[in-house]
Amino acid sequence: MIYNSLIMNGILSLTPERMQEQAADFLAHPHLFLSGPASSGKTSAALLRLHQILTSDFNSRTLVLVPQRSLGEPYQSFLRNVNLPSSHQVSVQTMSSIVRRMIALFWPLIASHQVFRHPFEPPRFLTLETAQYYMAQIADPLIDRGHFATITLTRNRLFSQLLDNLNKSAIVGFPHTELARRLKSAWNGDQSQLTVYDDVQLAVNAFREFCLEHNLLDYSLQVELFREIVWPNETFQRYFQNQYQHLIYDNAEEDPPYVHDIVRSWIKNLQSSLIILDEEGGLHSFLGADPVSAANLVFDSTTHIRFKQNYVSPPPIKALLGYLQSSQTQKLPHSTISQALIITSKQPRFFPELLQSVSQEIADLILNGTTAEQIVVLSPFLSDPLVFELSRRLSKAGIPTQTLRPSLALKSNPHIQTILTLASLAHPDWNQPPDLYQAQFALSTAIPKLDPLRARLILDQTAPNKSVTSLPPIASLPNEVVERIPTEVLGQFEKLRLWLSSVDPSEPLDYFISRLFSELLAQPGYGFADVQEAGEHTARLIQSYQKFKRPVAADQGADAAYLGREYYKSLNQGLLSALYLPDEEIVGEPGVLIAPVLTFLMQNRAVEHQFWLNLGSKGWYERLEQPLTHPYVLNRQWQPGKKWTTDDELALGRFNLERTLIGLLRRCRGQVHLCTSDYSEAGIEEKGLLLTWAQNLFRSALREEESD
Amino acid sequence: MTEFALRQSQAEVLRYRSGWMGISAVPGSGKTWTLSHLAAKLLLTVDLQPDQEILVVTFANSAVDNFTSRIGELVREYGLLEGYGYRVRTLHGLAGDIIRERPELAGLGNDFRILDDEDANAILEELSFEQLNKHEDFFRHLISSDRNPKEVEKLMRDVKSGMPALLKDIASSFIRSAKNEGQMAADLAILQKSRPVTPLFQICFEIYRSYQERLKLLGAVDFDDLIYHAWKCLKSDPDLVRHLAHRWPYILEDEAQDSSKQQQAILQVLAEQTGNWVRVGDTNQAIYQSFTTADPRLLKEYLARPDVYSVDLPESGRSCQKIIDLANRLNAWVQTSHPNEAVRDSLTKPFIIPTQPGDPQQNPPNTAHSVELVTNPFSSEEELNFITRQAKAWLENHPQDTVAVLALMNARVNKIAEVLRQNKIDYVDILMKVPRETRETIGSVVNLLKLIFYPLDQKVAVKALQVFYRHFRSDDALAKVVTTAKGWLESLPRLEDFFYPVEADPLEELSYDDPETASLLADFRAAVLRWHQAAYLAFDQLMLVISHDLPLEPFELATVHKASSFIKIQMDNHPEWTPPELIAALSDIAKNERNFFSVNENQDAFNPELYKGKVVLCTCHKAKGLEWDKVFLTSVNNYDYPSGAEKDSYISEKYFILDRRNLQAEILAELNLLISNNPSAVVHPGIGRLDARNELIRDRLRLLYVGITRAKSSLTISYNTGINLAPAVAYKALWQEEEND
Repeated sequence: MIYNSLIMNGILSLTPERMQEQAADFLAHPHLFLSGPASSGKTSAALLRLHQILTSDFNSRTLVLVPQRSLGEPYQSFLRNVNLPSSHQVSVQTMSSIVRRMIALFWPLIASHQVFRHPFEPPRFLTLETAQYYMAQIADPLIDRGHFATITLTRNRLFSQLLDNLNKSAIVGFPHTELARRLKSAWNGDQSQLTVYDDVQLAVNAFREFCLEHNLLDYSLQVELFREIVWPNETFQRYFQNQYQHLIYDNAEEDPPYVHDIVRSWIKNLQSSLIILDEEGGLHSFLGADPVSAANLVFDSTTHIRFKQNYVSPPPIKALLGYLQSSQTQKLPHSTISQALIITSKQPRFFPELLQSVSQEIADLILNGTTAEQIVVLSPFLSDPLVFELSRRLSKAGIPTQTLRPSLALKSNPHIQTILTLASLAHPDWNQPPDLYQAQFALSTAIPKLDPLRARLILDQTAPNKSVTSLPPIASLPNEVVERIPTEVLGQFEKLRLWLSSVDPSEPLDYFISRLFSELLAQPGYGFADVQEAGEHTARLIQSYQKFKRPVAADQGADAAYLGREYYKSLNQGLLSALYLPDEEIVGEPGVLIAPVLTFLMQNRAVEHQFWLNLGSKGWYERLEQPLTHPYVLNRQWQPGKKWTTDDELALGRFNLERTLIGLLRRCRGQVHLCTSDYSEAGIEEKGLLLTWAQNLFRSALREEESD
Repeated sequence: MTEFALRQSQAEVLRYRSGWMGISAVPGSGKTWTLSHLAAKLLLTVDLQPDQEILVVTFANSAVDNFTSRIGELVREYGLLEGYGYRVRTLHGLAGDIIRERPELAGLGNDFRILDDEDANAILEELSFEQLNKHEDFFRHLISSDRNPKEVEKLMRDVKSGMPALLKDIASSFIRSAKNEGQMAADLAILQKSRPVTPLFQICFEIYRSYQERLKLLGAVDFDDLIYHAWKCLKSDPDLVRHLAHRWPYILEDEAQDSSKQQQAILQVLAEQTGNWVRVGDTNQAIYQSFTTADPRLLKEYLARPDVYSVDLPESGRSCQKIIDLANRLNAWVQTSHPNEAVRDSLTKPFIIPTQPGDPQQNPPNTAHSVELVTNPFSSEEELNFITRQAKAWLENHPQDTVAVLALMNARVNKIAEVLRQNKIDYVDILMKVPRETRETIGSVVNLLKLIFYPLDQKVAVKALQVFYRHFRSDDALAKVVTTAKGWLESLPRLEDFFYPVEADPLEELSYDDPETASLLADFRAAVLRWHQAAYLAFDQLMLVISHDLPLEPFELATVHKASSFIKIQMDNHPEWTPPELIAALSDIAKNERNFFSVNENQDAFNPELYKGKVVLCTCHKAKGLEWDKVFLTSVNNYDYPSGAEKDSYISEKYFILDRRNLQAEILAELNLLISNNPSAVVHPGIGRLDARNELIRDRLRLLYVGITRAKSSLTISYNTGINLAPAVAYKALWQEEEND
C-alpha cells in the first residue's frame, strides 16, 4: 500500500508501452525505482533501458545485479542475442559473488585489521557444504556432551540451522553474539526449551573463533568483512566507482537487507540506476530476503514508476486475481471460477491414479495443440516417486519433460557413482570398500560388455562378505568362470584392475578422477566413451572435490590421502550435497516442466496450463520450521521483544498462500488444473489451506447461484 | 437420512447441538452409525465458517476409513461437498496434525519422522540387550534358583521368551508410562535425585535415555512421543489452543474407553474452549488396559460429571436373546458376585436390550443351540478335536453363515489353525498383520528385486518370470505359455546366455519353434535389462521403476508407493543396510512378519461376510468390532481368565523369575512413586503385583464379555485343563447359573 501514495499521477494515464519507454529513458530518469506485479513488463523495460545505455554511452560499464544467477538469465540471453559493440561492458552478477571477489582482491586491507589470527596467510573460502563440514567438527562434540538435548533433529539439519543463524546475523546486520538473546526474546513456548538457544550461541561463537583461527571464511564472515571493512574503505570505493557507472538491480525484493544498504549508499555515485521491485515478491523471505527494506530504496531514487498492467492473464484468471486482491470480498460467478480453475471430474482415491489422470489430461492438451513448454506441473515439494512416475508416463506418450529441482546428491548419478566406487577400490587405505552391488554396477557401467551377471561372476570370487576390498586378477579366476566371459571383456577388466591397483595413494583425488576418465573410462570399449553427459558429470565431480579441497587442504595433516578419504566419507554421510542449493538444476529436454512451486515462481515465466498437485499439503504456505533459528525473528522488520505467536504463524501462512496464489495466477495464460486424490502422496488425507480455499470458493459460488 | 428408523436412544443423541455429552454404548448398538449421523447432522445444521471442521476422533486406522466413507455418503445425500467441513483422525493422527501446526514448540522441524512400533521395538531390543550384557550378573540373580545352569544360559539369551524379551517389554512399558505421565528422560533424571532408585529402575532409565537419543539422531518420534509433544504444544501455547478450538468447534470421539490420560487431556483442553465434546464408548469393551496406557476409568469419570449429559445406547440387534442374556448375566455376576471384590467394577451398566419390533435390525431368533456351555474338562488336545468336529459340522449345515473360533492367545490360535489344516477344514487367519492383497503385491516386487541383486540364481529368475506374468494366471492359454517359458528358463544352463547373449541368442532359435513363448521371454528380458540399467538408483526408487513395468491395479500401485516410502525410512534409519537387508525388510511384510500400513481397498478392515463357508480364526482382541453367526469361544480356563484365586497364575509373573516377581509391575509402581513424590512409600519386591493382577483380571473379564457378544445366532464356549488348569471362575458361574435355571 506504500506504493499507492508514491504513484506518479501523471504517468498512470500513459499506455503501458509508453510507460516502458519512460522507464527505459535513463537520461530522463537517471535514478528510477520501478515497481509492479509479476508479468507487468518490468524486466522488458529494464532490457530496453540496458539497450539504450549500450547504444548511447559506449565507454561506461553496467552492473546488472540479481539475487540469484537464474534471475539474470533474461539479461544474459539479451546480451547473447544483441549485436552491440559495447555489450561486453555489462556484467550480470549476484552480490555474494561480488563480495567474494572483492574480499579476495582486498585481502591485504582485511589483514591489516587484525581480525584473523594469521592475517598474512591467504583466506580459505567456504561453500555452504564445506562450512557444514567444519560446523560438524565444532557441534558434534557439543551434542555428545548433552547440548541440544531438547530438540529432535538429524545432525546435518542441526549444523545447517546453526550456520543459518550466523548468516542471518550477517545479512541483517547485527552481531552474531546477540543471536541467543534475540531468539529467546521471541520464544513463547515452554521455558525449558530456552536453554537450547544458549547451546546455539555456544556453537556459533566457537565456530566463528575457529574460522578466525584458521582463516576460514563462511558466508556470514564474508558478508561481515565486506560490509564493515571493505565497503567503507576509501581505496575500495575509488576502485569500485570506476568499475561501474550504471546499475540495473532486478528483483531487489529477493535480496537480504545488507545488499539494499550497499546499493543505497552507492546510488548517488552512479550515473544511472534502475531498481526493480516485484510488489508481490519476497518469496525467499525464509532465506533472509527483505521486501520491505527493498521497497525503501524508493526513497533513494528520483523517480518512481509503477506498472499495473497484466499482460498475461485471460479474463477469468484476472477475475480470480481481483477476487484475491480484494481480500476475497468480491462475488465470483461459478462459471468464471470454473473457467479459471479446472477440477478433475472424478477425484481418484490414490495418488498414483491421480498422476495417471494428470498424464492423460496433458496428453489431451498436447493433442489439441498446446505445446509441451506451455504446461507446468507444480507441487510444493518434488518427491522422487512423483518425478519418476510422471516423467515415465509422459515419455511413454512421447511427451518430453523437464525437471527443475534443487541439485540432486552427487551420488545419485550413475557415472559419478561408478567413479566413486572405482575410487574407493583404488584406495584401500580409505578403508571404505564398496559393497558387492555397487561394485557390480560400477563394473558393468565402466565396461559395457561386462554385463551385471558376468560382473557378478567375477565379484563372487572375491567378495564373500558383501564388501569388495579388491578386484581379483583374471589369472586367479577359476576356469568355469573364465570360460563364461569373452576374452576381450576379460582383457578390459584386467586393464581396469591393473590401472586401479597402480594408483598412488598420495595422488590428489581430482587428478585421479581426471586420469581415470581420460586414460580409461573415456577410451574405446569403456563406458564413458562417446557419452557426452558422462564427461560433464565427471567434471562436476572434480569441481565438487576441488571446492571441498580448497579450504580443507590447509588443515594440519591434510595430505591427498586424507582429503580423498574425508571427501568420500562426507559424501556418504550426506554432509556434502545435503544442503539447500539456491541454484536449481534443469534436467531433461525442453518440454512439460515439473517443478516445485517456489522454483517455478522464481523463474519469472508464464505458461498456458498449470497443474497443481498435492493441494492438501501445508507445503503451499507453511514456512520451514527450524527449532534452532527463525527467519522472521532474525529479520530487520521484527519488533525487538515481541513474541512469535501462533497468530503470527497463522497470519504468515495465510499471507504466504495468498502471495503464492497471486504469483502463480499472474504467471498463467490459460487455466489452472486443480489435481487432488482422496489420499495424498503421503498416503494420508491432507486438509491444508489451499484445498479448503478451493473447496470454499466453489461452494460459495454454487450457493450463490442456487440462492439466485 | 432415514430418521423414521431411529431408535429412541439414537434420536436422543442426534438431537445434540452443543455441550458435553457422554454415550455408553453396548456391543452391536451402532456406535459408528450414530456418530457418523451426528457428524453429518451437525454439518447440516451448524453454521460452520469456511475454516472450521467437525473433528471425529477414533482409535484405529480402519475406523477412520469407515467413518470417512459413511460421513461422505451422508453429506452427499444432503447435497454437501464430500470431504469438506469434517476431519476424521486417529488420536495419533490428530496429535501429528497438532504438532505440525508449530513443530518448533516441540523442538521439531517440519520433516520429523514417525517411527512405527516395529522400528521402535527393534531399537529397544538392541538397547535392552546392551544393558543385559552390561549387568549380566544382576539379571542372572533375578532368575529363579530352581533353574539349572543350562536353562539359565538359555534364558539369558532367548530373545523371544527369555530375559532379553522380558527386559525389552519392561523397558517398553516403562517408557510408555513415563511419557503418558509427561516425563521425558531428562525429567526423570531430575526426579531421580530426590530418592534412590532400584538397579532395575536405573537400567530402564538408561534404556529410556539411550532410546530417546537414538530417536533424536534419526530426527524421529515414536507414537507415544506424538501424543506427548501434542499435549506439550497445547500446554505451552494458549494461542494454539484457541486457534485449534476455533477450527474444530465440535469434537466427536469414538472408542473413548481406550483413551489414555494424555490423549484425553489433548481433547479436553480443546473441548474446554469449544464447549462441545461428544464421547462414545463402552467401558465393558476396554481390553487394552493391562498392556497399554488406555484407562477406561477416565471415561467412567467423564460420564459421571454433572456437566456431562449422559445417554445410554442399550439396544442391540446383533445377538439372539439367549446370547444377550448370557452377556448380561456375566455383567451382573461380575458386579455383584465376583469373589474378588476389587474387580467387581470391571463390567458396568448398561445391560444389553434387544431392539424393538419394527427396528431395521431385528435380533436373530433363539434356537435350541443358541448357547452351548461345554463343561467337559477337556485336555488341550481334546478341546482342539472338539472344536474341529463342531466347526466341520457347522460348516456343512450352514454353508451360508459366518463362523469364528476365538482364543485369547496367539499361540492357541496357531495351534487351532494347525489342527484345522490337518483336518482339511478351510480357514482364514486374521492374526495376519497385513492384508493378503498387500502382501502379494509386495511379494511380487520382492521377487523382481531379487533378480537384480541375485542375478545368477536360476530359481530367482524363474520365480521372477512367473511374478512378471502373474496376471496371465486367469487366462488358461496365456498361463500355458508362461509354464512353457518357465520350463525353458529352468532348462537353460547359464542365465547370462539368455539375458546377455554373446554369440547366438537362444531366443532366436526358440522363436522358430515357439514364437509365442519366445516373444513372452523377450519382453521379460527387455524389462530386466531396463532394471539393470536403473540399479544405480536408490533402492526405494528402483522399486518404483519395477512397479512401472507391472500391470498393477491402482491400489496395488499405491501399495508399492507406500512400500517405497517405508523402505526410504528404513534406509534413513539404517544407512549401513545393503540391498539384501532391504529386501529382507520387504520380505518380512510379504511373509506377514512385519506390520505395514496397507493401502487396501478396505484399508485394514476385516469383513467376516466375505468368508462365508470358512472358519475365521482370531484372538479375542482382534475380534473386537466384528460379529459372526456362530462363535466358538475357547480355552476359557483360569490361566487365560484368572480371577485372583490362590491357584491362578499370571502371564506377567514369569515362571523363570525368582519368587515369580512381576518385574514390570514393580518398575511401574516405582515410577509412579517417583513421579507422585511420595517420600513415605517404600519400594520393595512384590510392589505393584496385586494391582497388576487385578488389572489383568479386569481386562480378561471384559475380553470374555467381548468374546460372548461377537456371536449372533450361536455360541459355544469350552475350556481345557492344560497343565493343571480349571475352568475360569466367571465361566463356571455362568454354567452353574444356567444349570440352576
